[in-house]
Amino acid sequence: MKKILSLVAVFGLVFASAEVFAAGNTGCGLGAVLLKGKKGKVMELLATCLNGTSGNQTFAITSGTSGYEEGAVIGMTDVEVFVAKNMDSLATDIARGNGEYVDTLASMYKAQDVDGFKTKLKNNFDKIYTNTGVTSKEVVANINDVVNG
Amino acid sequence: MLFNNTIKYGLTAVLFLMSLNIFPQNQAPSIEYVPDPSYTVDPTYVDSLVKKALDLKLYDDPYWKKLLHYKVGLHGGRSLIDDKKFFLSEKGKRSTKEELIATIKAFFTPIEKDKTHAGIRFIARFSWLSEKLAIDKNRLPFDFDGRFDKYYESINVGKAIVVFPAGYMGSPASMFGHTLFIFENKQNKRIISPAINYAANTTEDFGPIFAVKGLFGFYYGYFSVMPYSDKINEYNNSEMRDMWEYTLNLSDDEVKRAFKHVVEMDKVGSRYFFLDENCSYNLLFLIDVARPELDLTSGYFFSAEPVDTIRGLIKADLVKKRDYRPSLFSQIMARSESVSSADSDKVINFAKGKISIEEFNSSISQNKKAELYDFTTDYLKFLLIKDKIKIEDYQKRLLQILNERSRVDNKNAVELSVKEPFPPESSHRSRKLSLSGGTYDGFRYYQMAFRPSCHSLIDSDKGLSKGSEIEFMPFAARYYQENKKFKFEKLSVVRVISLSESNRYNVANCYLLDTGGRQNILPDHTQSFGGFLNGGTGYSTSLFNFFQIYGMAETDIRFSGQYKYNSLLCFGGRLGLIFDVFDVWKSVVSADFMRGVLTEKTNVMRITAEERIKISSFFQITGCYTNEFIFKKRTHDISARAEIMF
Repeated sequence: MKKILSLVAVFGLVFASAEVFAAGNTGCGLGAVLLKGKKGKVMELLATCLNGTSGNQTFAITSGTSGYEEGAVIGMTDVEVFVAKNMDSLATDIARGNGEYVDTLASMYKAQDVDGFKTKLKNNFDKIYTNTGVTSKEVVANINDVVNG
Repeated sequence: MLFNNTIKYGLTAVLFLMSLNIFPQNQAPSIEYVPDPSYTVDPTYVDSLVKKALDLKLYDDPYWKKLLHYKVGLHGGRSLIDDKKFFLSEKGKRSTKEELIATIKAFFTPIEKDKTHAGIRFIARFSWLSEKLAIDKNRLPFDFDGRFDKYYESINVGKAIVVFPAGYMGSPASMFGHTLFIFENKQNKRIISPAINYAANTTEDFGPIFAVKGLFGFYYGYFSVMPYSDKINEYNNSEMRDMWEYTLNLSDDEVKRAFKHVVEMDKVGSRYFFLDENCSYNLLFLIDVARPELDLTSGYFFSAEPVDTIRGLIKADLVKKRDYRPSLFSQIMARSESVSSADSDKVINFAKGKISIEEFNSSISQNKKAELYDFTTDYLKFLLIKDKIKIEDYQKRLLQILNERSRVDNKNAVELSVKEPFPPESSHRSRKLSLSGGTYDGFRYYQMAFRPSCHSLIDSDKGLSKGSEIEFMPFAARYYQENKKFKFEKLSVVRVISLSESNRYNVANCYLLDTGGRQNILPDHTQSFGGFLNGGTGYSTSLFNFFQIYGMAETDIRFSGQYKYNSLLCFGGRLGLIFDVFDVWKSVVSADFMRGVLTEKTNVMRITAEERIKISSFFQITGCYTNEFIFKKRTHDISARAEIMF
């Protein structure tokens, strides 16, 4: 329970939108993001024409009365958010030891030795993705352990 | 005591440094947004600026009009924006002059707590006016530029990129395309860069209502921002669309101006018109604002299709580089090419849960492992998205495969190389005018047909998805020489055909839907214009890559007062084949066999063959033959068409 609460709290701090709360609850496991972008058959046909969104999937460009103070655009570079939003692609890249997602992660960690960073994660894949129900929050904690360990 | 102090200060310093390091990017700019009680407005200075602006006729300046999205159209001059928040003057939507005066005045009002100041909100207007009018910064209530600059630096913006997701399998409507605008992060972290998307804020309406609302501006469009990776996930993975990234050659200052305008457009709604005031058109304003001498938002008549906006960028010499980002499906197809048939069976069997990871492992050779694990990973994602496997099974098998993969080095891994298809801008123009001459049942006729938008099967697939057709409001009218009569031959509201090819990795549905009005043949063999609805579903596959065959179960309903119960209700099937030789000669042939039931009982058979020769990307010659048998009468319709795409 505590874990869930803290997870919600972390997400709540970074974002304000309802969609991200949904991601906080369901979008964190493997596979969830892949299913999120799907539309029904009829909507698929029409929605692509309109390129519509229900308007809640987004970050704010500006926020607060003073405009761009804690603009959520900046929250995009947050590791927690990145991992939650890219669970499957990141897991794939870590296992392969290369790719755009693990490169991005390396730059977020400001890794000096990028190849070393990637090899370390690859070699510890099973310590990062510990079980099928692993959440992005746990993945981040495990990555931190591997990187610092 | 000294020791204690050292610890205390030391700790404070450490905490301070930590606070800087933990979230270095989350630090708010240091210029604090607080009311300054000592600030007073100097009305004479403001008046002098207003006078100067009017003397300079800045309200007529093209750049000012751009900032306001002001266009002169059928209803006279007005801003395309339909949101009061965007205007500081009551008359701002129509009067660029009133808006100019109100804007200058607003910059000098004191800062209020809990209220966003105009100088913050309209930062692009501010920067431009402050340069044009040489505004004295010391007389302003706040350092608007300084604050924006701090914020902008923290985002670390480098290049600007326009992204075009191509159409996707099974959804001809998606051929229309879409565009996004990316402010690329300077450290080359493209996937976590802010992506600006302009989209209609839609409600979950029933399909047809949704379409009508979208076409006629019932929805409001808004700019929004999200990490680019969200969009990659949505388009590249979930929808399996190839993406194209066009890096623009805008300078740093130009990119910054575009960003300033994004800030101005935040939470501002405009009526969304699918055909012209759409996603792509609205993004063009960002580029127009970025580079003052550009005027990309003019010159679109009737429709601004996303691909046309890409062509516009290329024509204006704005594109520095084009990158291809293959969809998940394109990646799978590319990987499958180097995999043997026996190995691909093993991959499919494991992914679908027919063999265990141990069986899979023991059946493949050591030097193939990396390659096959990578292939399996992508295929598992595909199966999940297509609802072919449950998420629990996906998670389990994905982790099994990735665990194995992490223990294999990359020595034998096969670098993914997807052959770049023709880019979207190489596709044909979507408006088509056809002029033809022919005979129907022995009577000579001339026909004019027009399609306002999109693509039909007979047209070239270059730069588009294969086996897809979508036409909005195509119509054809005939003039029969003999009796000197005009006849409206056909008007479709929308006509969609999707012929996704099935293969060993993917079994996909085909469908067709066509509805509107056309000349229906009556029991007495005369014709009358009436409604029709034609739909079907089935499967398709390709042979030798240029020869596609399909079969569908089909129903065709026609309406006329001359039919029993005013309708003709047919059920049956269609067989079809398409072949395409070097994008020059294309043949589209279909045969329908149907039976009229319940109302009119008749056999219906129709064979249609179209042959097209492409002369250039905007001109083609087509021959068409239709043999139709209905109410025990056979008719032949043969014609030759010259078709212009523009």
